[in-house]
Amino acid sequence: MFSQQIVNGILLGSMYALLAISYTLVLGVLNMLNLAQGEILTAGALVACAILSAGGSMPAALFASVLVCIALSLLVEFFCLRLPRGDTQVVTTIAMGMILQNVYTGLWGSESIKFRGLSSGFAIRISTLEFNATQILLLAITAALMIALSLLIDRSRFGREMRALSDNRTAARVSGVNIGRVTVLTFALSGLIAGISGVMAGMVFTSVTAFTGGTIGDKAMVAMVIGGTGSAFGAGIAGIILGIVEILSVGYLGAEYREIVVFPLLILFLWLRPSGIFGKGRVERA
Amino acid sequence: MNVYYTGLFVTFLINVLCALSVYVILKSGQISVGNAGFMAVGGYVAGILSTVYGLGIPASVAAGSAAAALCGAVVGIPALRLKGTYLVIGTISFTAMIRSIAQVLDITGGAMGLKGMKRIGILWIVIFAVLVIALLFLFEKTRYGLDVEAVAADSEAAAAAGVRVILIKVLSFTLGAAIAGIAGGCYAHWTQYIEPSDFSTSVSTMMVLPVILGGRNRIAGAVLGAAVFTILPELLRFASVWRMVIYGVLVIAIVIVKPDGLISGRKRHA
Amino acid sequence: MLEIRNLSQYYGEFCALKDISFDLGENEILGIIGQNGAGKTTLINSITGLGGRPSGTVRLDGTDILGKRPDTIARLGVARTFQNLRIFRGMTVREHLLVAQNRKLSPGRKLLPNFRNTEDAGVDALLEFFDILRFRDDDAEGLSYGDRRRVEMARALAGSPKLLILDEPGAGMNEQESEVLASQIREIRERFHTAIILIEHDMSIIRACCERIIVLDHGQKIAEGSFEQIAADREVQRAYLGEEDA
Repeated sequence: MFSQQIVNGILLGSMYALLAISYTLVLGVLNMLNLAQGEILTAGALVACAILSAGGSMPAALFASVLVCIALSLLVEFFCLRLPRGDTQVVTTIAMGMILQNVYTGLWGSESIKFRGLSSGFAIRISTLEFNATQILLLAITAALMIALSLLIDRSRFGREMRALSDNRTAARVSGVNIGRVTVLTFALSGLIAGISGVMAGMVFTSVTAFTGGTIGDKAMVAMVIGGTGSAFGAGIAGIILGIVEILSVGYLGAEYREIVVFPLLILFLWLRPSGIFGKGRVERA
Repeated sequence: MNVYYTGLFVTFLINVLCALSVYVILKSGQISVGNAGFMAVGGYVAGILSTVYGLGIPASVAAGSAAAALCGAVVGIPALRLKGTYLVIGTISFTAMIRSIAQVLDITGGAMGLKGMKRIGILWIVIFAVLVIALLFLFEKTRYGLDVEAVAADSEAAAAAGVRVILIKVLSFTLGAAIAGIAGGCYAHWTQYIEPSDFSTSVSTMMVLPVILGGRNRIAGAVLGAAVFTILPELLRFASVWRMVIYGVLVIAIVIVKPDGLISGRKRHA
Repeated sequence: MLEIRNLSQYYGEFCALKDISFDLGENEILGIIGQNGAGKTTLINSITGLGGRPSGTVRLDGTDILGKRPDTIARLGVARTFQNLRIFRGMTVREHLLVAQNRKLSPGRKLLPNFRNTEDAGVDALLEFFDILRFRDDDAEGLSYGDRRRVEMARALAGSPKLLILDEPGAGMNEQESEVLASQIREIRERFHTAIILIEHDMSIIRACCERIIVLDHGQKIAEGSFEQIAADREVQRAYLGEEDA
């Protein structure tokens, strides 16, 4: 039913939205595309899954997931941003992603693992729509995180420094922004988002594999470009729209049509408006 | 010859072709992480031609390569306007788009994949690989090869010196795609079964690693990188999945210590 | 041979060039001076097709070149050097010149390998003229600043241009070097029969080379004439020295 699919789309899209924001933060502030971000999300999902399977609580799983993802993000910051030469950074993130994926396969195999989400039968009914506990939690987390991020970016000192670095790196350095600190914190923040998104992925898909984060990452990148790099707001909106489009494609066209609308859409944007919907218009030109 | 070693040798040759496809595009200063998409086009077109239409294998591979080359030209034109990050995302998305198309069409077998291809003779794969290497080697010695280097070094200054930058860049994409298409056609007829997930984003992005590791400025570098990529996992067989971890660590280490790759000296033009 | 009428260039709201008009004859050396930010390099970029959306008319030997691609304009006979030297990383000095000469070759010739042949005589002569022949097979990047500057100029001339544009070739030179450069510029005109547009801050070079000079200020042409004429011009003095007390 249509409205239920919209809701499902929003849930799926929230995951894309959050991950897209994490991509755009690192890209906007540090001018770096972290191709290992999908694999970092997977780490979060796998760790949370392990904790839940071992009987741990959801908050514990969330906490562990976030911790692991932040740690991995800092690893990426060190080995893929700080050490390598500028034009080789993207390649190191590719290698890092490969390393991580193989670590997961080594530790967990390549089979799908059941994600023990919330088992409450609690549900809210609004007209024809039904929201179960998991969905309510997911929407709540998304909303809370987006509000928190928005406040952080707009109102905090850190947010101001991020924006300064994103606008003009040299001017930021000259006006006293501690670039090293902002870099590490931005990566940590993207790791936090990935950790939360990883848990969400487990709840949405009810199972995780070593490859879960990869596809989510691809689509989050699409959302980032369509929304406009440098615009967390754009990334968020685009992510949700993408989720809705995907669910509707599957619902009305069939399962095999899952991806076929999304990627051509991106290519259209790259062709006509690379700066995205809300982008700042500052796109590198060949 | 021992089946194991022939299999390894063929894998090496296909990896060489993949590496060279990335190398050619990189040589013009553009990075393409979407060559799995071109490989898929080559593989599917070749596979369909040989199974459904009964075309001979070498001809099918060649046709697949031509189809891939066409895609290369089509991708290469908008790619001119994108640089760095956007080109990376664009090429990844191109591959994803090809995958999604393959998933939808009946003729490609959808998610179930394409099967029933006859096995390609090893000699043909060797011929293709040697041809590509020889052609690239000669091409680099020509004045066009010099143009390509200039474009990669500084495309604005190259344009100011009269180099047809747009032509060079699009041609590089086309050539790279053609080579990836050959790899795809050979791959399809060696494994005799291909499916969309064979050309995943991971596969596509990982295709650039051998070139970066081996040396991005030299054909020999791409070949070396492909060799390491093929042999190292075999040498480390006992370590199972961890061998790829070691490979990844090796790549990162080399990139940090020797950013131009293992074989980094530029070859002088005669 | 070069006709420019009402050339303007806007970057968004910002007006970088406004209604620039001037002519350049064959074999003439024209100087362009102005404060930093006056629009000199922007003017050159507009002529050579690098960037922005310029409006107006630019004609080279009767052919409209405004808005054309930079490599097309280069192939029509325009060559330039860059203010911040743009050397090709990883290429030898000789290769720099060969690239510039590529425009003269047919596609068929370009497909042939690079054997040492008669073209090398031309390349060597050019390198000799700039006194960098000994660096011919060295990496251009590793040379001294002055030598790299000469490589840039040699590269520009290698394409046998009708119009040569030099963007601050004298930057960072001392008095002696400036003198040498000035006479070299005059010699280029004699030997290679090119028209030259010279952007410079160093007035001694301008004075020694240019028959005619154009002064830019805030994107507009405020004076045109011989060195003595523009030196005496009130507008020019005001632009360079600030408001004089009346």
